[in-house]
Amino acid sequence: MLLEVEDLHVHYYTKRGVVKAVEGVSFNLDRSEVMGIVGESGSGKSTLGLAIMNLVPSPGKIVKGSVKLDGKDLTKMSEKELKEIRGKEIAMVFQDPMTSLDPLMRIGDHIVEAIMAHEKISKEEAKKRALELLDEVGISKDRFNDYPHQLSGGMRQRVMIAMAVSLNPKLIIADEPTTALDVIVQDQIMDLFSRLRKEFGIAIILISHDLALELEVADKIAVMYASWLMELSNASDIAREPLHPYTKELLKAIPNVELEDQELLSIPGSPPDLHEPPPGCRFNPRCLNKMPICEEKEPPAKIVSGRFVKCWLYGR
Amino acid sequence: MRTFGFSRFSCMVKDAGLDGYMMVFGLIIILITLIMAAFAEFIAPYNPVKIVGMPVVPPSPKFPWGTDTIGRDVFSRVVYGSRTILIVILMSTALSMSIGIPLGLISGYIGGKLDRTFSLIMDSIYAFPGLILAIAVAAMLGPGIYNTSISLAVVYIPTYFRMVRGQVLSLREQLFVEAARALGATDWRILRRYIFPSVFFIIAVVFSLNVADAILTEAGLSFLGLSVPSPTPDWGFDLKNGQRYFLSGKWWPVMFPGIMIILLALGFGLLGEGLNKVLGQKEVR
Amino acid sequence: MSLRAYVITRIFLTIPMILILLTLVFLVMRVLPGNPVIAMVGMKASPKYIKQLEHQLGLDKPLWLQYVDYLVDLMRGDFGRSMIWGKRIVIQEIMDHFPATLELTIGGFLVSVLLGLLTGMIAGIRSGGKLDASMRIYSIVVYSLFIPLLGMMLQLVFGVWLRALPVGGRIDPGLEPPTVTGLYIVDSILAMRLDSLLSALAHLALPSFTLGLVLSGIYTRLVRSSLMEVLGQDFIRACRARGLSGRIILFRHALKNALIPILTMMGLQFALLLAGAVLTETTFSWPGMGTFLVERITYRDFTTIQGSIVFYALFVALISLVVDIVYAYVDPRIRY
Repeated sequence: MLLEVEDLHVHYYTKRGVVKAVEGVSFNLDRSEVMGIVGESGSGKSTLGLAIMNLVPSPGKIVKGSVKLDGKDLTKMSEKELKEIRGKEIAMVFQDPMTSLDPLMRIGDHIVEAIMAHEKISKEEAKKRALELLDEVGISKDRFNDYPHQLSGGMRQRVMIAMAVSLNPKLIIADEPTTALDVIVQDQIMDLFSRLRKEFGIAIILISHDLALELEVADKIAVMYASWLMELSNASDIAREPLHPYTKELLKAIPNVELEDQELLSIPGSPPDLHEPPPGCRFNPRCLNKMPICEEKEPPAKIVSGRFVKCWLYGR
Repeated sequence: MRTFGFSRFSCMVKDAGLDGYMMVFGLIIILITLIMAAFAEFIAPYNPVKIVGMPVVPPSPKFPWGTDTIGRDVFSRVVYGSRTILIVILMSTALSMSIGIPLGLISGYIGGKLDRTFSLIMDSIYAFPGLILAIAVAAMLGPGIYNTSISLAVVYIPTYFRMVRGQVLSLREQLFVEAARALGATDWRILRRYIFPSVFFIIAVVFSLNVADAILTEAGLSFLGLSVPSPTPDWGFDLKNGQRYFLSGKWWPVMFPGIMIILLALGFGLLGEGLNKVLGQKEVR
Repeated sequence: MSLRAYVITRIFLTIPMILILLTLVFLVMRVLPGNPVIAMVGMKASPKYIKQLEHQLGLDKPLWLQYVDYLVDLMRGDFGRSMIWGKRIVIQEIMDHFPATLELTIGGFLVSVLLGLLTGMIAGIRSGGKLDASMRIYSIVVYSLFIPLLGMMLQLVFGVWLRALPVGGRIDPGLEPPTVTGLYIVDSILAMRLDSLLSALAHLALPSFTLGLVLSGIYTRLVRSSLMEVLGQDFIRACRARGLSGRIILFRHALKNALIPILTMMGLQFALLLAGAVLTETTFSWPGMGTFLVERITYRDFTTIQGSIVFYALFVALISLVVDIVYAYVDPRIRY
């Protein structure tokens, strides 16, 4: 196993009280596997992504659980050890390419800096590598000396990806990498991801609110709702036969391209306030299959024919 | 006002933490100075402009803060000096507010060419070193309490103008004004009912910080001999008078007025900082 | 917009600012109540003598004509002649005193930026903690320090008690370097005179520290809030995710970005330095523009006062122009 996340809990200590942003999430990831994490905003999926790198921003904290990369627990490492892992073993691509680059630094220097932070090579060599990488992600070499504001959003995201693969990491965590981009650029970036995965054998965790996108590229999909992992199984299984009522709703909400004039379905209601989550199952106020017990007790984590689901529908 | 009792106040202070204590500390300094000014006749043991002893007598029971370079009582001069500086600050602030605030309101509300012209003028004055502008005006007007107040007022008009204008501009865009206009409220009513109350909070903060600055500018003018005429007790001028004895170790004619200048400026500075947080917090709630 | 176009536009934008400031000086000098001639020669002078002086200064002309004369003279670089001191040429006298002020102002500027950066960085990194609170108090307290009192106390401690530094003047008599720029430090280096350089630096130490300390508090706040804002931005998180060290993130990324908005404030800061320099000069008998101006005010030297104020106005406009150009040059978002 490349990555083993076990019973991970992340809490934010805000002035209004403790927000449990990730609660008891466990999953495994193999080499060159693509996992999708899907959920609405505020479901804890971005926090989960940051927690894997042990990069939860204050006032947040990992309070329980472990994240093992090749057997080494990242949650127990010192900042110094983590620095060696971040960028080299695990790289991250963020949602907004407009704000993820230093506006005062040339894009080429970004990549050079990332390489030189982890490898003892000369600046010339690093620059050569940076130029190759730019070429690899489809940016012409004479853009090396451009500043971020001179590039389009899609190009900036390519720079971010070039930086992410520059040290040949084992895992890339991409948090909504295409949300801020238009549809055509979105496809190009996703193609780039799948190519990198094939060429370099990099595992990818793709965090997104867009289940349709996940179904296209991911091998397996984790569905998060209000800091809980609700369902986890192969993408094909989820597309064919979703188990959790929330997943079913998400699937229904995907617009069908073949049918025109179809009204966009969205799930009625809104996610709960995590300062005061509802008792019992957190999805119960919006659930179509609600039973009396759902309002009383937290549903158990069940394995149903090899698939993970957290719902009372599948028994105790 | 019934709800705003002492307990509520102390609660707000505690909630604001450091800023609350800063505000209270500032208020205490200001209050002490105000008492000094109001009851100078009762507090000061001597006539501040009369020679009552030998020159530069060190602090003693007879002269608690010593005597100055010609034998006047330093303590009495400091007590009466608070009157001079407070009156000048009060008059100058009232003057710059009564010009700066209405101009800012009008300029920000009407906008267009008028606003651009006003802003350009005010920004130019603002960019000019305040003390030097005050020196120029004071040099032309000559010494005196009124003239010094005018010199200071000129410097601070742009501060009030800029602050009020900026506030009006941001508020003007906000929905509630648009809604009020849709309901047919007149311009004056909008200014009075909606914009002025919101501007009030920020005026309180800017007022305190500005007064802190004005105190230092007044003391500066006075130090340069450009404030009130000679026998009147004035902290900055007294400090200047003592300067030639200071380096020979006779510190009292300089230190006492000097420390009062610093404390009073600090008092208003702390009050402004504290108000900013304490009132700001209330706004959020 | 190219950098050149920006610079040219900015230069044109300076013209109205200069005009407004010159008009302001004119208004202060000629329209305010108080007749400068009577202020100079006193109430008791004969009306005939007063008339003669007024005619000599052009004060008997209509106001608008005086205004036109004033602007035309200034455009020709004519600041007039002193009304006393044997009709010395005002601009020459200003030029004799200005380098001293410039030297002091630059010294104060460096001290204030250095102290402000240090304290602001500490506060910004440790935002919310005890160190942050102390730095906030520092910024309020130093700003309230009255320059003359602070200066005198430093004179007492370092000049009288420790005998470590001179308490007044620009340089030891006899060590003045040959004048090239008028800045003693630069001139001593140009003349390769180590003794002059050391003496000039020693004399500059206390005044520039006084001025710099008082104004550093403003930088503390600016650096603190700017740094806090930058540290919260996405690209800093992205830097951490790339495994960059804290030092590199702070110095190479955060600080550089935090300083750009501060750069735009430097014009106003410089105005504060000039104002503070007047008090510093008077305290330390520093022979600059400030002491010169105050001295001439006591003699009611009307033309010299007006010339000095105009010079200050032009200098402030120039500084704000330079600051904006430097800003455009430093920030690539404007440069390209």
